Amino acid sequence: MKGPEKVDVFQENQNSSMAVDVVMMDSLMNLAGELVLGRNQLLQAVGSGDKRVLETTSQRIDLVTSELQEQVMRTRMQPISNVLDKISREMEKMAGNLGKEVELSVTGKEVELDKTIIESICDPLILLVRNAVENSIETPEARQTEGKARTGRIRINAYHETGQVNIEVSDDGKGLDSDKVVSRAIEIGLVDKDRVASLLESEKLAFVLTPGFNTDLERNGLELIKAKLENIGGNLDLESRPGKGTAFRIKLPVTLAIIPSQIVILNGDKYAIPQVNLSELLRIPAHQVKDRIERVASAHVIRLRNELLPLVHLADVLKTCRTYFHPEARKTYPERRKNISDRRKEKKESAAGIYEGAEKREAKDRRYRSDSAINVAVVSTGQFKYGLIVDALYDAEEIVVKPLGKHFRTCSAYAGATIMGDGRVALILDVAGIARLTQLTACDPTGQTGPNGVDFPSSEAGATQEQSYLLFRNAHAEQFAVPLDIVERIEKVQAKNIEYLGGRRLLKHRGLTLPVVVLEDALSVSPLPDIDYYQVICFNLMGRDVGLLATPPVDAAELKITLDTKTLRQEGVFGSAIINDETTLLIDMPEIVKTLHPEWCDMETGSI
Amino acid sequence: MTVHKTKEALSKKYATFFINDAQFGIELTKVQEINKISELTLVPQSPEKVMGVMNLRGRIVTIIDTGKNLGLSAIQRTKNTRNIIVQDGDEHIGLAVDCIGNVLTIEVNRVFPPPANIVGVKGKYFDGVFKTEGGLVGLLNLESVFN
Repeated sequence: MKGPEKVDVFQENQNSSMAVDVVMMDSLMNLAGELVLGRNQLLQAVGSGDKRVLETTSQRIDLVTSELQEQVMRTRMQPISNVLDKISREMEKMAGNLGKEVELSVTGKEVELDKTIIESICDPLILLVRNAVENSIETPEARQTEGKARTGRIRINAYHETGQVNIEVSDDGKGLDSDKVVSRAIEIGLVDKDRVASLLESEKLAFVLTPGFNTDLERNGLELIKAKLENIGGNLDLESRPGKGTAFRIKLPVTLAIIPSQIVILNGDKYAIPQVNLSELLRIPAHQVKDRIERVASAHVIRLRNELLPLVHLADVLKTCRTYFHPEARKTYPERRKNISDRRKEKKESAAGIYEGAEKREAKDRRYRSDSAINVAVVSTGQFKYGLIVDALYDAEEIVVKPLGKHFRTCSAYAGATIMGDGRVALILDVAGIARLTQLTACDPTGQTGPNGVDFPSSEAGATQEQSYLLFRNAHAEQFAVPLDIVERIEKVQAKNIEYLGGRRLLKHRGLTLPVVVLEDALSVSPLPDIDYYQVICFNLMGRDVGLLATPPVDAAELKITLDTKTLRQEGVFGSAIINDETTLLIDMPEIVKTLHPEWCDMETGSI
Repeated sequence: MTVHKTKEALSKKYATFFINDAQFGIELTKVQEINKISELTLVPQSPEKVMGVMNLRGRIVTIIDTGKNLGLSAIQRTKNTRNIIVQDGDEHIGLAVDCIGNVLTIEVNRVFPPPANIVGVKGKYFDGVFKTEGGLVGLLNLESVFN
């Protein structure tokens, strides 16, 4: 989907006006007076140079400013009833046109929200109510046959919760059938069939809010409502039970003008991430970086409590230079490493991957220093989470949101700007915009970069799925892999037991003769070195045992790889992938045997 | 245009500035203020002609590299570099220039239509040109500069 157009929530309509309570106006006037007094005191105190007076004055100004801020925010607050009254009129009109009987009940009319938010939730709310009237509430006759009251009920409930305002729009109509939703999701490729069983009910329903999901059930484009709400820092989710009804829940910030946010640093510049988008902050100590950050093809992911989150470096998003801080020179240098997880590691790496973390810290290498830790802000777009790597994490601050000029319309990474305490401008990051820029998408609403379940090995490029592989080498420098499930066994054999007979390699083994092949006979790869012992990987293909000679050691690994089926494709090779930072050819063993022993193939087909 | 106007009405004041020794003018009434670039915040991924944003008494002002915008070389920040703050629609924009020149009072009938090109700058950016003893002054049309 094309990114939703940014609603300029801060740019107020020139013609719009609002009524302000006189009492409130008076208290504002009072506060303005206080502020003027404070200024006079401050000027005097600065002139006299009396530090004590200066302190008390700054305290006073601090108080007055906070109160003034609160008061001004309050004048901007409007009760939600302003919108709800309009909705009730709209709803009656809609119900009348469709011949349905609907009753609207509203609770929490007195809940107040910032003027700009009230204005921008009006349309989404009307759309939600219309959706309920048109698609969810049945005709009076249908309702009667189902044993429901003739009159459908729509309930709007607004309330405060954890500093946010919740608005629920629920109906007692026919509800959504999650099976239907899922089959539609499969049809348009939002989810793979195999994964459906593992989805929660709420995750299934969430597809309704995904861009591109436009069944006859939801022809009003719920995803647009969601996008619109997200633009003002809100969120939309739903619950539904077939036959009982649907409930949509909107979560909104109380105000937009002043928002709490986390300040982060990149290349010495401050950036603000709104707290509503922030899930948590992580600091990955240098010695854990290699284990917690992994690379899947060219993308990085981080392990966080058994979840895999995509990682994005803010410098890459903003196309600025990554830097690192050299602890000895105490200077900042441009980063040359491409790979985030590139850290020195002890040479011996056991297959089990167990090592003592404590020992590693004594290493003198700069990259183990605490300065070399990676700071990650885990952010949530509402649809999914990802990790944003920054140079440093600062304080949380309340910031005043200011719009950026029209020249930045094309910069979707920013939601606005703010002025920091030192007078400098800091940019506010738009978490959803960054996700769009880096093409992270919510293919998986659980927030995991789960497997897409493409059949492997397939002819499609970039197929990823977790599978077990046997990693081995022919020449030392080249790594190969075969799917582990076709391997019968692996044995170590002496080179002297290998014989050449009739142009074939044969292995005398346990009193039997096993035909063996080497990769260089079939593929253009570096030859097997002359060594005393080889590993022989045994397969049973086409009803015959066949061995493949390899250089020890061999290793098995559970991997999710992205297969490149183009670059290094040749007969007998599925493609290539990066495994353990090495380009690895994935061998098509049946194909190799077919090439080297075409007669086996003929015999097999002949025997059938 | 009406002919019977006094001499004063037929002249306009222009604030002039220099980029690479070439002199340009902006109608003085369009200029909000002229200041030094203090703390500039760079905005990565912004259009090339944007130098950054600046805090101007609580407003976020976009600073444009006027040199790049006109297709000349980029502005080098020196002690003479100034910002000409102008209003564009409902926002303020700062035009960064190499240095500020005098305010010129220019008689309208001595302004010539712009040629296709003035010192390497496309003619579409100008309302006209004015000849001084020092050389040509290109009178900028702000609307075409911003769009």
